[in-house]
Amino acid sequence: MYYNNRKINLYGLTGILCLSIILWSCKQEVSIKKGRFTAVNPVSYTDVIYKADRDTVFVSRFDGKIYEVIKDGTKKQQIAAIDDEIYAMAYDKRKSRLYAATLNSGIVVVNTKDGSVVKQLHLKNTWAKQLTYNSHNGILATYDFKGSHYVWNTNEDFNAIETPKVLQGTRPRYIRDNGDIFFDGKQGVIVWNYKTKIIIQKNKTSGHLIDVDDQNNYLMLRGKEFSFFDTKADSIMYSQQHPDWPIYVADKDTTVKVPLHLEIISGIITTNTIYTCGLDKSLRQWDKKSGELISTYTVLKNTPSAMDIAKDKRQLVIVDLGGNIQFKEL
Amino acid sequence: MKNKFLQIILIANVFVTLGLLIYIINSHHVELDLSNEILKVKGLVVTDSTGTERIIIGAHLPPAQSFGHRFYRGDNSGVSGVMLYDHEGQERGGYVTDDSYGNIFFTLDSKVSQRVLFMAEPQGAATLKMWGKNGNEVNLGASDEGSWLDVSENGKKEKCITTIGK
Repeated sequence: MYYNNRKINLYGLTGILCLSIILWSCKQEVSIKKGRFTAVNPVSYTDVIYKADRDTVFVSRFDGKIYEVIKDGTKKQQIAAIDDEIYAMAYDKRKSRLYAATLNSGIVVVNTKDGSVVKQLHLKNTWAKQLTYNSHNGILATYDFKGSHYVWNTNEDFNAIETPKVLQGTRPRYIRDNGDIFFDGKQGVIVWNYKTKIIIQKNKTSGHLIDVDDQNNYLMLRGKEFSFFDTKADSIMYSQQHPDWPIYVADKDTTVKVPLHLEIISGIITTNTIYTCGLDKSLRQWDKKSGELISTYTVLKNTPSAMDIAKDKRQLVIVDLGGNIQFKEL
Repeated sequence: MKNKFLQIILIANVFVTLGLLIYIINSHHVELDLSNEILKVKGLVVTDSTGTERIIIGAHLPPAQSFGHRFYRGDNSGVSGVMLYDHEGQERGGYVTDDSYGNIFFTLDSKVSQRVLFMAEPQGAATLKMWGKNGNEVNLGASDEGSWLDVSENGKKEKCITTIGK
């Protein structure tokens, strides 16, 4: 097409027309990022569990992220991100699976190779804050806040294992290779074997069972006090508290010992030693036989949330609510 | 005539396109001024520089946060109001109303459990309670029927002053 002997570019004209139509249809949309009350905290570690025999662990957070952390490593590697809060973990090394207790999604099974969620185990009521797992027999157990407990066989497509009525309202805390499951409740500790369906042992105890040693003795926790329960004698051998709250005074670069006992949060029992950590941000080492305090380590900067011990019992790892992780050679 | 018309359209198009381009570039940054508006929201989460929640205003508020987990408040125990959290994200107190009894209360918590309760019940009784573990407690209150002050140590009432029934 020509105008005054000048060529008018029809293609150019069409292009401008199209561009103006596109621009006209470009409507600006303002969207607000959806918020929620939970899974907010991106700092606090909620649990820690060894991935390897030592030096490498998995840690979880309230914001639903799971990381792999290597001792002395500069970076932590994100393994998975679940759209929910994570409170506890258990690791199945053979199947490269992590079991994670969450607020709204029950128990989530995560493939550690690609971070995908392969299965969800639903709870009847509320949520679970602790997981108990035995890698030898593949039994996974937990309990919710309304008193229901759950036992699954992970090797048999997560088949739920029925427990006897006498165990109603109890909490599974520890699982032995031979199938003995240790439950605690108002009546004390009850040991039940899922293979034979027989109650092996009953002990009248008080407090929560937090660990069991090789001789089936219990480490019990009750507020500011822990107890070592000898099952052969069917009695508490001793109870102890964290003495002298150590407070670090940064200005004077010194630690002041305040004669107060604070709550104990977690504990681990080994062949000869008991380790406890508490609200006083200290890790205490006790002689298992006598209950004597051997050492006090002030390794923590914040309130501890979880700890785990290496397979050879020569290394311990603690995480806290400030997002710190500490490996302690024992 | 036809060519002139096309020329006018072409020029008009160029102007419109340029105008739209300028408008889009200018409106890339949108500033919302809500200072004169009334906001209707279900909740508000105030976080610190690390992203940890420090204040939540909500209806209903989430379950309380403990050492690496949340604990269940119980059935029919939904609360709404303002909740405060420490630098580690632990619930340390709140100013809330509950759905079941219709109480309004102000609470202060230690790192482990609740320690102070200041409450007004729907029928009018008001209570201030402070307690430690092992049954150490101070309970101060007043209602239309009278007033009272109880002091207990290790679960045993050491002092009890009351005007109720006098």
